[in-house]
Amino acid sequence: MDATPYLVQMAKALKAAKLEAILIGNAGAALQGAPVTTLDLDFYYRDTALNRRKLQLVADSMHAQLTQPFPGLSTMFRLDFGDVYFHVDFLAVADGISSLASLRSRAIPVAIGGSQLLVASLLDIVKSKRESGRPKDLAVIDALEKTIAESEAQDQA
Amino acid sequence: MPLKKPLPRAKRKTKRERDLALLREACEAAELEMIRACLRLPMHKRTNFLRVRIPGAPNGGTAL
Repeated sequence: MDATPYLVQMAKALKAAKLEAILIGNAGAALQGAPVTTLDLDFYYRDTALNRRKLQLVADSMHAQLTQPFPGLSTMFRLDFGDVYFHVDFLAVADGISSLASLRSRAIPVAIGGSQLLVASLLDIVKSKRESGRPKDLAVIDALEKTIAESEAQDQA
Repeated sequence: MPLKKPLPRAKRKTKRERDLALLREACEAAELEMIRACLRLPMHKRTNFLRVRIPGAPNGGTAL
């Protein structure tokens, strides 16, 4: 399924709420040419009281419900779209990512539908997946590393 | 001087092993071609990556 409408909506909502969030996970990898698919969009953000209010603004502008699936255990927030089997997760803690600033320093701006999204670099995505150690994350590392190698080879050519 | 044991002859690959090696090569080549095809597209066109859950499908089935 084409993710463009969701990405455009997200980019506009983040901009309107002035919330800084960086796309990570397989969605970020796919935008950089990796042959992977995903069921959701994952964004990394800084967990502050102000940003939690901004998350609510983002949810409101996307007509989604803001939920916290694991309260007390995780600072992850989720945008649920009701009957649509798709969601957007906002993570303040992710394996292999030390801070928003370091992620941002290597992130790539992607223009989609007149809006702009910040996407984590493939190297950061690989590092995060390796450190998470989950079988589903380890399974795609090979494809991501081949994408990095091919992308570098094309840049040099 | 003790007699040296003869080295075992290199085991010939079975047809199944040769077929699997060929299949592995073909898969690697196909994956590389898929990556190249993705990289040829501009970033805003690499957006066909969302899988959706199919309601009622067994084992939480999904489709692109």
